Amino acid sequence: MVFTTGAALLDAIVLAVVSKEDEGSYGYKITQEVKNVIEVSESTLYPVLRRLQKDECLETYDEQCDGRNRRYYKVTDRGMAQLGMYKKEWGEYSSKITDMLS
Amino acid sequence: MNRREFMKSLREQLSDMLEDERNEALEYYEDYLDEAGINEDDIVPESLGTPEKIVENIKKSIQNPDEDFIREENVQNPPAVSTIKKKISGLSNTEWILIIIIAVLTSPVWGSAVIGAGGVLIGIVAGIIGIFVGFGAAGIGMIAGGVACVVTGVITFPSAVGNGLLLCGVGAFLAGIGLLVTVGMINAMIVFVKWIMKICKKVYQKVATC
Repeated sequence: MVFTTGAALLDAIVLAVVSKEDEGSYGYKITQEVKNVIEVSESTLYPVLRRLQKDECLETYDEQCDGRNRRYYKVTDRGMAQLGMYKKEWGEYSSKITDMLS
Repeated sequence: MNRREFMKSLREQLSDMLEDERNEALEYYEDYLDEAGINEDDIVPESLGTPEKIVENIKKSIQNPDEDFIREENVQNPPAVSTIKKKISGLSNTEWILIIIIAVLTSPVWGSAVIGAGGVLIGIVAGIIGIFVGFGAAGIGMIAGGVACVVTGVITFPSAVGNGLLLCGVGAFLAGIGLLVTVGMINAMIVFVKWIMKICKKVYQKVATC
């Protein structure tokens, strides 16, 4: 992959991945799903999740699973609005680039 | 490095952070390793990143939340990127330093040339404006002369009807042409000044974007 993924695009991908499930998703699963789409080092995911959480785009809740705690991330209303904005922006941006490169 | 050592190193390096932040990060990684099925004595895969790298990323994201800190490390074939970067910048740092030194040393030569060229340009612009002003003044003179002629014509009219009429006619003619010339010059000057300002703005924008 020669193209880099900027902070905004990574935010958008993370929000999209988390929003796929109604109950949200947890760190390990989010990381694996993001890695399926883009090349990203695992150590960059935690700061992104933490920042989205601070920006109130993600909220967390804990659930017991196999006797241990699992922290779930869920997209907030604000996060959904942000994701909507990213989707719209990406549509415009990607179609321009596609036109240019095809 | 096994999980125990990994978490110990992570805890140590997060020690200067706020307790909330530290616990949050440690919990996340405990969780993460649980999910990945890595036990206390298992080796933590390198793909997770070293504790140093993890802490560095966390600190960077707290200091500059908007900065694009992931740009470098998420690309897995850095050669391609570094070639592209080199192509864009074209010159190495040393080359830039050399260029700046040469530019400063030779500034007396090109400096005066640049100032001279600027002076010539200003002179040309001022000259053209001067021509407009000159013709405009001539037009005003013609109006004044024409009006004077008409006045004289009116005064001479009772004694010499022909002379009076002629003076009135010539005066009106002169004043008319003078008015046309003056208005024309004022309009031309406005257009010219606007054009010059547009060019200056363009040049300024180009310099500013560089």
